[in-house]
Amino acid sequence: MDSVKTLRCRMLLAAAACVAAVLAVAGVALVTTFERHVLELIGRDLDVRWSQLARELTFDDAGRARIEAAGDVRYATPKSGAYWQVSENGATVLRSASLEGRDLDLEEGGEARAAGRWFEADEVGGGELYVVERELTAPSGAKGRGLKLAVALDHEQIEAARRGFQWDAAFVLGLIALVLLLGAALQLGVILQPLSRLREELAGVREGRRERLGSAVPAEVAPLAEDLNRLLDAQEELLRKARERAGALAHGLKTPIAVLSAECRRLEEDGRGEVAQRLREQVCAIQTHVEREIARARARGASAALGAYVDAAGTARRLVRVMSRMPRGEQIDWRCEAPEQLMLRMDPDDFGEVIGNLLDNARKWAAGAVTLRCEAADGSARIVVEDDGPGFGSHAQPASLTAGDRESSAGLGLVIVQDVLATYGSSLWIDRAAQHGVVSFALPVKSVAKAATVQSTTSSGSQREGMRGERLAPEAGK
Amino acid sequence: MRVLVVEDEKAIAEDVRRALDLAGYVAEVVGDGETGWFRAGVEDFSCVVLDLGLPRLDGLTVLKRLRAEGVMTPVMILTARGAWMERVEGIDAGADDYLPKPFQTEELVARVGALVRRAAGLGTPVIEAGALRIDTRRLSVTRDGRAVDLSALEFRAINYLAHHKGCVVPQSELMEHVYGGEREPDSNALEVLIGRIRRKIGADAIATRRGQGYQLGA
Repeated sequence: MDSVKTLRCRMLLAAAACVAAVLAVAGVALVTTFERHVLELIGRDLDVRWSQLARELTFDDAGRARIEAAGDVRYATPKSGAYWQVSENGATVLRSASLEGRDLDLEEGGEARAAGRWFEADEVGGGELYVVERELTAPSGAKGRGLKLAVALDHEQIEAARRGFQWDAAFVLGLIALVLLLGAALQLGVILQPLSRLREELAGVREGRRERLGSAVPAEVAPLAEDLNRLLDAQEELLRKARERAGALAHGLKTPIAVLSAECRRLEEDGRGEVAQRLREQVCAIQTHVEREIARARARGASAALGAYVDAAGTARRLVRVMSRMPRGEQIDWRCEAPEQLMLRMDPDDFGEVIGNLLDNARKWAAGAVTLRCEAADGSARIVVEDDGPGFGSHAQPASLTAGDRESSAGLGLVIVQDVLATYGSSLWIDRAAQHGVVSFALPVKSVAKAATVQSTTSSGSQREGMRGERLAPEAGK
Repeated sequence: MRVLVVEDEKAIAEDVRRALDLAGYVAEVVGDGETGWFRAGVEDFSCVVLDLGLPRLDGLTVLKRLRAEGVMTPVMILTARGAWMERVEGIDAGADDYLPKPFQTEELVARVGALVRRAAGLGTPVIEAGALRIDTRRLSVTRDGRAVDLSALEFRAINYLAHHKGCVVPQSELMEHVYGGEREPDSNALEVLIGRIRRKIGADAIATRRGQGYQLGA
């Protein structure tokens, strides 16, 4: 029944019903009209036959009526369907051989019979006859004797003609129905083409191939396209404002935190180290919460990132450029192994936040090399970040994400990564069995142009074996 | 070593200035983007610490304008907006480093030091010039392995000369980086200062190029 829900099927069904109804009415009308014309022909045939028989009627010397040659062999053949009889004052005096001695039953004739028009009568052996009976006024011997000549043709030939016509008409009407339905299908194709184009454009928006629906749609659909475009604009605007608010919130909160941190240092310099330490702890706790909540507010997530995609290798290279300028960044051998133009289905800012935090975490712990690898297969890609520092298994999780100081809050970046990935239905995997730091996550791929390895430094980083991992608990990090 | 701090939040600016001063730099603070752009464009600084959220002219515009004008002074961006792609945007605009707020002033000082060293083509925080070893992190100087006791001003002078080892540093430039551009020292203050340093590290350590300036590690 699902197919009936499509507009095309509904319109085709409606067209088929209309064609069937119209052709049924046309068929009935055609058959009726055909029958009427045939009856008129029968009537004229009866007139001709009556006139011929009347001309053949003669009287013998005794005044008895006689018809020598009736002209139609069927009059001489029993039950042939063609009959005549002559009556005198109501009593049959002469009949065709085809009647086999029986009389025609003309009692049902009524007014038509009296007026000399053709009428229907029952045949003796069953069936119906078309009959015309008129009084004979010629030849001269017939005058004043009350002689009447009746000519009859049976109904069967009309029925046969009608049946034949019905079949022919049904065949022709069937052909017409077929042509009409094909025409309707063609018409639907033409009419629905703009809707198909609109659907393709919508898919393009969803997949990020285009930003908005095109304006070249029929006037009837244009309001729908405009509404959809407005909806997309509103969504984008909403996200933009949300991010601006997150940015403003960040600025509004982080600057006072920085000021409070400066006050801590001043307190320490004034010899009030205990107060400074308590204040610093609280400031750090606030900072940790603020960082995480702001990261959450910034994340667009899969539902909001309609059609968004990111060039994985390009973004990774840009982030590596940032990393190499950070402390220890210059000493680290950064490697980026990703197919060129690997497009992942993720908002670029969210992807930047995820990769940025993972690379930053690797930078802090790496002994000398960090490798970012993108492995695309079967419509998805696994992004792996490896460093040659200590593995996750050898490090306890941070004591608390609210502890505040830089060392113990090292896991905050990974928690932010997990928060962002969760909005895309993905999750961060940490290989706790690995000797060194290995984290990874998977994302759906939009497209990949060609396989190529991009290396950000001249030296090669160490390669890791396959992954044995576990999902990152919300509070985990190394 | 003059460092321009462009920051509108007075408490943070003061904190940064004090930390940089203690680390041997001459930190000068301006509170808006327009002034920051003007001073960074026309004066000689070893590094610019630039906040992004500034009145009159935002930090990113200041940075783009400076780079467009060919000013290659190392720039460290400070911002409360710490999204990674915003950092990428900052680096792409020409920043040399990016430090999100809130930050530890020790980290800021260390990163400013790294930027200044990188701009001078130095790989490590310890600069050697003949028998001299200048440790830019510990703010200490040794000669033949013996520590030399220097005042803050003296260290500034030798630190700046060490960052331009082998080059002749004009007197006016050295004066600016030791005393700061806003102060007007006596005309012979620098000569007196160089004389004191020579007495501590050896008369031959700093050469005078008459009419040109001073030179360390000739």
